[in-house]
Amino acid sequence: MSTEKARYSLEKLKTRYIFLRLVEIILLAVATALLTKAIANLVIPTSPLMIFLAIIAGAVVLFTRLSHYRLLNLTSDFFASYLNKTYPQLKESADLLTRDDENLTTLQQLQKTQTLNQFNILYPEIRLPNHILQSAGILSVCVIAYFLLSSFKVTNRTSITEKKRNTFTENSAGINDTTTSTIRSLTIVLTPPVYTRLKAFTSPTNNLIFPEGSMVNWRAEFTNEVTSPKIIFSGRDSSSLVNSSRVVSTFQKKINESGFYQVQWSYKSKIYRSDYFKIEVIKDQPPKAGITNLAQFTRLRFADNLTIDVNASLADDYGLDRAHIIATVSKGSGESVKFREEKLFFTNPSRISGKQVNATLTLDLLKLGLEPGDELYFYAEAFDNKTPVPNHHRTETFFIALQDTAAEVTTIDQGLGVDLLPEYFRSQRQIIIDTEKLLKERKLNQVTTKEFNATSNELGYDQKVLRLRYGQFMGEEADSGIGIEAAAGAVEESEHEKDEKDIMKQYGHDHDTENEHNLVDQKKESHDHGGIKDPGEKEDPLKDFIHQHDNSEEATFLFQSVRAKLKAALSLMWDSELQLRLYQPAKSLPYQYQALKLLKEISNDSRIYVHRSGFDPPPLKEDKRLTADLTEIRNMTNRYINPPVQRYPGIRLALTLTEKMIQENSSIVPSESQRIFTLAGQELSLEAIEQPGLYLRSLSLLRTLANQEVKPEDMKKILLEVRKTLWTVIPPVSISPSVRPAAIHMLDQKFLESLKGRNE
Amino acid sequence: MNNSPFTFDPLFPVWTITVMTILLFVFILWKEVRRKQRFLTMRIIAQLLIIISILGLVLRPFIYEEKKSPDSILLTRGYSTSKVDSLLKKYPKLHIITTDNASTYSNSEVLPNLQDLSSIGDGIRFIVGEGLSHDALELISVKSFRFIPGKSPGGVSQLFINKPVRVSQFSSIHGTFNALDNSKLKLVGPSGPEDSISLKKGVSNFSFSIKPRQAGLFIYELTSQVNGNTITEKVPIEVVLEKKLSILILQKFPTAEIRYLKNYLAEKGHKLAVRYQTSKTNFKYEFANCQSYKIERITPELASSIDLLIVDSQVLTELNSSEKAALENAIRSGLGVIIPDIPEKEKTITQFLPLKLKPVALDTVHLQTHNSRQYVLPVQPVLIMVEPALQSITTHHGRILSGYIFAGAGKVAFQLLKETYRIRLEGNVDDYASIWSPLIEKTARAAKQNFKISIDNSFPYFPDESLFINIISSGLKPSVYTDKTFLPVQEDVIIDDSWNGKSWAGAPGWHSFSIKQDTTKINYFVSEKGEWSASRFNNQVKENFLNEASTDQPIDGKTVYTSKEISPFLFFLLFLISSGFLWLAPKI
Repeated sequence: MSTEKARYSLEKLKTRYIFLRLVEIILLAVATALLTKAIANLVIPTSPLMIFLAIIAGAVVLFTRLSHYRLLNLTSDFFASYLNKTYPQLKESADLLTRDDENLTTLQQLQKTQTLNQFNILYPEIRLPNHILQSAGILSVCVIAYFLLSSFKVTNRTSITEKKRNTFTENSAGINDTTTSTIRSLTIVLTPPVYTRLKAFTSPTNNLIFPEGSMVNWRAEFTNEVTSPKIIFSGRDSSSLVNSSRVVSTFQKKINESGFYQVQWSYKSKIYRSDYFKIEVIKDQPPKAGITNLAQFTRLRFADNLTIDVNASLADDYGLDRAHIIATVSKGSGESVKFREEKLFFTNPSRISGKQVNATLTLDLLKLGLEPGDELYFYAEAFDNKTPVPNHHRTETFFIALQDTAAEVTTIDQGLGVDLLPEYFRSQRQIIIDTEKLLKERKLNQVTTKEFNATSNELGYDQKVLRLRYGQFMGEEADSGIGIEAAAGAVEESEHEKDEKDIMKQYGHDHDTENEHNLVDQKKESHDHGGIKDPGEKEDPLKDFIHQHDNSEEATFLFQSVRAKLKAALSLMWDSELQLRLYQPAKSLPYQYQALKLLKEISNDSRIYVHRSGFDPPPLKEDKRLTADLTEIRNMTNRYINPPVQRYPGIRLALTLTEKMIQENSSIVPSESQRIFTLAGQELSLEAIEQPGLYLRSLSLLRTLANQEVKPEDMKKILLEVRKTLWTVIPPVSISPSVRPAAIHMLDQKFLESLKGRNE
Repeated sequence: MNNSPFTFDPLFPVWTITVMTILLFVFILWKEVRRKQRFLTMRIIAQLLIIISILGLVLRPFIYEEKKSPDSILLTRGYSTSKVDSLLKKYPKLHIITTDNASTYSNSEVLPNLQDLSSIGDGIRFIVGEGLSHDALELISVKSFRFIPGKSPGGVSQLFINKPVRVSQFSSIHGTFNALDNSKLKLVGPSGPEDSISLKKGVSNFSFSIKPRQAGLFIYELTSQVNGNTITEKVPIEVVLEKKLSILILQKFPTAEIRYLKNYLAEKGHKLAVRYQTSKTNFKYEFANCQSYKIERITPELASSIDLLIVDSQVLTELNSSEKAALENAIRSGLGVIIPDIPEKEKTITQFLPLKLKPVALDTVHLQTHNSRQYVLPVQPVLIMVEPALQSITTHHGRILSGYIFAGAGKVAFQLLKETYRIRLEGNVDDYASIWSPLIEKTARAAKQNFKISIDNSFPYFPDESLFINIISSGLKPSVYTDKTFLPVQEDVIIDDSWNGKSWAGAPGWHSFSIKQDTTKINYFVSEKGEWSASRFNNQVKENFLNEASTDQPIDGKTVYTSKEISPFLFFLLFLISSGFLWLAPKI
């Protein structure tokens, strides 16, 4: 082999190597591109971008590998060194092959000749390094991966297509069909109000669920150019779509109420309507506010800690805007009560925002100006960020009362009664208590006999004073009395008692006077002639005609029964006093008890109860009834017609029709029945506005029935569903009596009619 | 039966044949005698034979055969093998026949057609299993069989629907269920399940109540579990609207009770006239849903124009004698009267309401209504003594609170409950209606109809089975149509105006019988074959028991006579031989 030939062989090897490496690199690049496309396919919807990415990835691999193998600037030395490394037979002299003989030394030439020979032998066996197999393997794995990933994506696409097909039943119509026009696509973009901080989104279905106040943008693309496209809301209001191009119409509306809608369009003077779709508005809920750490009623004493922490839990579905506490301080009582209202802001956090906030505020009752006896009412109020009018909610009112320790007056309201007698009957009770105490002390030997006797005597005196006072009510003079005492030393006693009475007046009750309430005229005193009526005096015939007074029996403003009781009580007081004066308080007690009991009864008797006022009609005189002269008055006749109000006539007709069709297994809707289904649909749509979730589907089904769009195989299923809804819509009513049919045989009829009554 | 062994089925009238034969015989006899040939006697005999053979061909003689019919046992679907075994052990000579739908039995012969029962039916001594249908039984002229029923299939064996089923009224569907295992029976209406009941193994009764909302012909469904299979059977329900009444209310003075009753009836669209006294000479009249008319006094015309009179006892007492007579006659001809207050001196109204009363202390009742709500209502403190003519409507622990007595064709009712308007004021209109509606409906005059159609067969009806209808007419001959086909009917031989007809049930679904003369119409539902197997079995078993022979009749064969046609071929052969001899005789 000559040097030229060897060089040529080396060149050939180089070309082959480059080719092999290029194949390897291309395989790898293709594999990378495929893999990239498959992965990008999953995440990126648009195909040009996907292809671009794949090419980039492939190119990156390509150039990386090219530069790695230095294929673009490969020299003969590379091969020489490769051959040297790989084939020891060449004795590290392969580079001699590329050199000219002229530049070689003799030894080198000799070596070159040997190397040429060796090279000649080796040449057919030389294997160039490459990874084609690995690259092919990688490529095949990538191809499989590509198909697998792509097939997943394809499945998804199919489901979406199916979904879309479900939603837009009109789409299935042929695209090139010019006889009809259907909606090719209906895109609905929902833009929730700004305050909700929700992003605008495209509704996945035509049934819309969105926050209240959202801006809804419909974009309907028709298969052919249509005229007067409209959206009908809840079967009532219709809004025209704006044609933005030949087949595309748009419409935008802010919607606050739930309901349903339907797209209507005309094509070649025929009106088409889409299915019914639901509009479900998610109402902005008012914020929730609650005070978590306080009971509704808190009663504090002045000595307590008068700073109160109020923890409020505030929440809203979209966000809170502000919150505060309204506190009302009430001062005083009765008619002089005064209120002062203050608005307090939470201290922590100072700015209320976010969906959930726990806010706190410390109420300093003293700073609020609360004094003992005053009360503080407060409630927390929260506002959300809804515009233009925010929702708000307030908590229950909480009460904090600062107790008045200085004076706590207990008033016992005695109702509407007018108390004729002043409330000094306690005296008798007092005497009893004192008597019992005395007896107890004696039993325990705590008192000497002298003290005991003295006390007993004093009690006797108290008893006397009491008796005399009641005696005054009886009209008894201070110096008059029943029994011995009245007869002896009346004047002295009287004077003495007068003094005593004055002393008593100073300490006793103010109202212990004869005529405290001015229930009798004061002039009574001027007629005080004194003297006791002679019991033996003959009955004065003029008694009825003259102004008589001074009679102790009559000189009172008490009722007869009360007077008798009082008299008995006085008598018992006499007995009690006697025993007390005899230093025998134990014996006096029974009298005292009885006297107390009587006094209590008198106290109750002398109350006047004001009855509930009401009209007490005078009794009817039966003989006078219906006897007035009414000849001028005509008989009155009223006539009124209750038209048989049967709600939902259309639904009732449709129900009967549906039942008939189910029984007859009808597969088509007769054209004369379409009107009935349309009528029922109109009636049902009113119900559907109230409860779209419940009736919207049946409304759609009714529409398909009315438009004869039901496939025969689906007919029974649809009819059953419609029947169920229609039956539910009809409201139940109460029963009504009815005429019974009575086809009885003439013989029976004659027999019954000729039956005589039992009493004949 | 005569004793002659022959009977004839002549092709022509016998006298014609006789005359012709005699003439022919005389003619050919004359001709033979005149022919100067040999074998005269033989030829005359041959001619006689020819005449006889011709007679045989035209008279078509049958010969009687005395035959003892073979005793047989007919096995129908659902027969018990053990019972058949026992019968055959006792009567081993029995010929075994099975119907085509019954399982086979060894040595049995399948009855190819039920029509064959007409020939072999008389020999049937036993029928085992579900029995024969009414139509098949009719084919057996002499029913001398005994019936041994098989085991009932599971399911609803009896079903009764309280008719008429009216809108917004509770109606009951009750029946008997034969449960082969613990089962659940469910009634499904147009709006879904209405009611259900769990039933234990065995025969048990069930009752469902429905409250339809719409009039029309509806199909409810009864689903049950039998042998692990869910069986759905269609229950036909005809829901009818109520017919409005014409009501007159007479009151001495207005009361809240009647005011609310009036409002209730007027709202329901009934024709209503109310009169109450406002003073001695003045009255107030109210008319609802009708034209105003004179109601100063009760006249026969007025009484016959209304269906119901609600009159308080005071007005009733103050009626003059002619009014009382008119009212009484009207009641006897069908008018209904409700007296909402029985006076303390009940004798004043005894003429109209002859009841025996007993004063009691109880003047309130705790009334429980259909909706399980309880009301404490005042009631007149009297106890109505039970008597045969008295029909109660509202009762409470045996105490009659409202009811009526028959008076001729009409009824006189009473209501002891007071202040029922409180129920209405509480907003429970349903409960209020449930107190008054039955009383008013049952008391009011029944509408006279010219015809009444009824189907004698028991529910259910199946395609191609006979339906027997009965019509009561009021003197007219009914023109009955089944759907749109005229159906001939015949009048009962003994009872006037009672007509009977027979029709055949058509395809499954609703059908009707109607009468052309007026609007009388009844709807009936034909069930699918295979449905209501238990009910069908039950009805058939009853029918077979009704038709079986009395048990004291001996089980043995009967002599039957059968007639057998003599083959015309024999006569033809005789004719040929005789003619052949006549042809041959001159040549010999």
